[in-house]
Amino acid sequence: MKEKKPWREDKNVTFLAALAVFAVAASIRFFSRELSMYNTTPFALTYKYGFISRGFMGTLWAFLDGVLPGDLMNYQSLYTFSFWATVLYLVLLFVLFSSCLRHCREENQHNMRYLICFLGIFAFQMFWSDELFGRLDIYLMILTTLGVILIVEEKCEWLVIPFSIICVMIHQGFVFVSANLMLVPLFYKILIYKGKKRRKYIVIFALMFLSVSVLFLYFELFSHSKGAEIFDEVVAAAKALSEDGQGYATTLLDHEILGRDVFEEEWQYHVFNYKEFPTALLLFFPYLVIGLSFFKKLISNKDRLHRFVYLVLFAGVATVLPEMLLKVDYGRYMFRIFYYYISMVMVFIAMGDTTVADQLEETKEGIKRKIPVPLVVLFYPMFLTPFFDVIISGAVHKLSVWFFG
Amino acid sequence: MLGEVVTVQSVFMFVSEIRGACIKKGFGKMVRKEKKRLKDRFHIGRRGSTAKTGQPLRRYMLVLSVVSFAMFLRFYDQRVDPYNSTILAFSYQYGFVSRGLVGTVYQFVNKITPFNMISYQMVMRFTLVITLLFHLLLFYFFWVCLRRCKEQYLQNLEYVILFCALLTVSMFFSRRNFGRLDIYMLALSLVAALILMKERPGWITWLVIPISALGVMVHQGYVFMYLNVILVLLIYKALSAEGKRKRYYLLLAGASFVVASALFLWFELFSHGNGAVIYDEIVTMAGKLSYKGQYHDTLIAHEILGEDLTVQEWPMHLENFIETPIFLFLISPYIVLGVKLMRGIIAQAGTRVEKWKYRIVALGAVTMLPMFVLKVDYGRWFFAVIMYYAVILLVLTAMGDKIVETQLFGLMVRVKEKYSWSMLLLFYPVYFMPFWDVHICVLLKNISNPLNEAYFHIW
Repeated sequence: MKEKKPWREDKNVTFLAALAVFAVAASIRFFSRELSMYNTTPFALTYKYGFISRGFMGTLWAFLDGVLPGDLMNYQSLYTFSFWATVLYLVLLFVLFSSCLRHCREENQHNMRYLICFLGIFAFQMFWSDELFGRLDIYLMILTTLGVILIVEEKCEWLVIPFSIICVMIHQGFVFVSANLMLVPLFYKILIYKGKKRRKYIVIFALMFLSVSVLFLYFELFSHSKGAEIFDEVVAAAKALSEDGQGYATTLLDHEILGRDVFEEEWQYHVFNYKEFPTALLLFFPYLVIGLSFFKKLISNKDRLHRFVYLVLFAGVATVLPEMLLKVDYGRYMFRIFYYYISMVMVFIAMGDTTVADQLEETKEGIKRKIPVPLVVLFYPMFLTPFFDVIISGAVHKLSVWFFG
Repeated sequence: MLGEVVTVQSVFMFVSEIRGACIKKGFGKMVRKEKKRLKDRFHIGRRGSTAKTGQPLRRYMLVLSVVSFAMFLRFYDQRVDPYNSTILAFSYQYGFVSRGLVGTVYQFVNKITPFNMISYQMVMRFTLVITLLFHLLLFYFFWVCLRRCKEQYLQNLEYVILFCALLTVSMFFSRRNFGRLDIYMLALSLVAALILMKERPGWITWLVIPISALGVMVHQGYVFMYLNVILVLLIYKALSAEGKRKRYYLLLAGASFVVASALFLWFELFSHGNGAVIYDEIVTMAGKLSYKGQYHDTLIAHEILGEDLTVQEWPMHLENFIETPIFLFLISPYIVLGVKLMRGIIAQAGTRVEKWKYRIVALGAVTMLPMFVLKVDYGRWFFAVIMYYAVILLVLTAMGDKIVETQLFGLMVRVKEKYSWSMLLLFYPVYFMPFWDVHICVLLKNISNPLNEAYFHIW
């Protein structure tokens, strides 16, 4: 039986404690202390108007307003709620980190710590800016992270089904940007396990996939029919929740309540994207090279089954593509791409995949041979982040303006 | 034998052999070949197994450049603050005024070039060019340090240099300090450090005296902020030498100190006499040089009219008193490591003179105390303190100080081995960048402002 070390001597405990300080510093550094009207407006959408898209959080908020003392239908209450939701997201990240460290082999823990730092650099500062503080994404991340923790821990994994359903009800974009974080590990388990366990995961996977798909189609195609009738009431509620009592996110309500296509209105943002994305690819090019090299060697595995598994791991991020084609929040999508790859490698290693662990070690050694100060691979993205929404990041935007005007 | 220190005898023998070879067989290719052979034989020109200027160093400089470019993109605000544009209105056409050197140079450049420099756009361009040139100088300084470093310590030195680059790129490209006079002061101290890095004194070493003078003419605060680099290195060299050389370095240190002090006293006490006469002209010029004509009136009032700003600056002092303990707490791991390093260096020193030498190195930043007491730009003062230690440690390792090498790099290795979170020591400072002026940095502002709004209501 492993001797339990005092917590001060446990490298993982001290690492997570130091990382918590790092996370707090990141949060303080980037916290804008402002909840934009784009992030207050969704709380005006509730199910009293019918089973409308993005109505879950507004319904929950209205419910809490009804049961708790005091008036919650104001900016300050929503601001406080958003703050604690973001803190909860960070806490859950640390639970995930702890889970991954506990489940991976001792010889892989050093690399797991590198991955955790790397993920933290993107994840800690993401939801504190004025564009993204209080964004519905944070609730998706909370539930998704919980789901991933359950998958790693192999406890109550069936809960990913209701979590996914709630996520689609919060924001139907979950299907493209976050569902893969749970679907890919479930798919891995289906391929790796046999017998009863495999059947269990097939059922969970199928139920999750079906439920989110059905709900997504409903919200996209059928939930706008009453839009015109409820529009004015929703606008009034949205104004009440904003900081100045006047503003609300017009394109959001036009699209979600009236079902209007906002592609033309958003065209200027698409133009931003077409300029910024190639610039981002240029700046993040080293990671493209490292990532492709990593996956190339992984996918050239001798075993056909494992080749397929790693192909799915590699291609699992493709669910973001429809969002990138049709919508404009490239900053959020870039975050999703990095978050997906880093967290999935962590999760695969935590689930006991020795091939991924060994390939990571080989990649790390390759980096150490080629790059004089190898930690720079983790250090460099600190200057190209945080990611925003339409604008990918400050650094990317600056360079793209210099290139393209 | 590798690592052999150059002696006077080996130099003499080297020169004699070269001379003999030249006389026997003429100049040209043969001489170059002989020179190389003899250099290798007598180990002249390199300190034992120092880093070679091969692919690894060039690759590191490329990585450093790429990362620095990313830092530049992150921190560059494309704006010169009114404070930093107003200073360019001060020039020696109004007399020997304080902080007049850079403005004089700027207006001289305006006279000799076909461009009209008296506009905000040209101030922007000029400042960008200067900041880029500064970083070229800084990278050259890094290159020299890397070349002179022993191969076994190279990777650790590369991390120290990366940290320095983070400090300066973030500081001097961000809006608050883009065009700040600090960049010129630090550049002068770096030039002096490069001169003093040479093992043997020559005529060029005398340049530290005019460099000290120029530093004070740029900004009289140079006496407290960056002159310590020059004085500490000179005292270090004096205490490391004997006889004539010791007196030589002490003379240089004394002369630099006297010249800088005299200029400081002139600028502080006597240079405001003409203030009222030149005020309007300077205000007009400052308006032309500043963004949307918004010049910094307090700066002109203090430097030209000699007005005392104590009452005006009192809320800023209170801001400093709130932010400083929080900042020191947040960077306490670095303070602990720094103190450990210095104590280790001093403990390893053998003789009493050596111990004093390293005590002076450790305490060299004490010259900043008057700035902390009297002025409010704590962001700049903390930057100056950290840069002092960074530059001094880089120079001492480049000079081959074995005690500093073993202690510094030994500490880095021990920290890496002992602490699973040691990599965070490189990442964590990024959140404190850039250093500002009154607010130490954005992170501290995000702590002190809410505290002020909730409890203090000072600013």
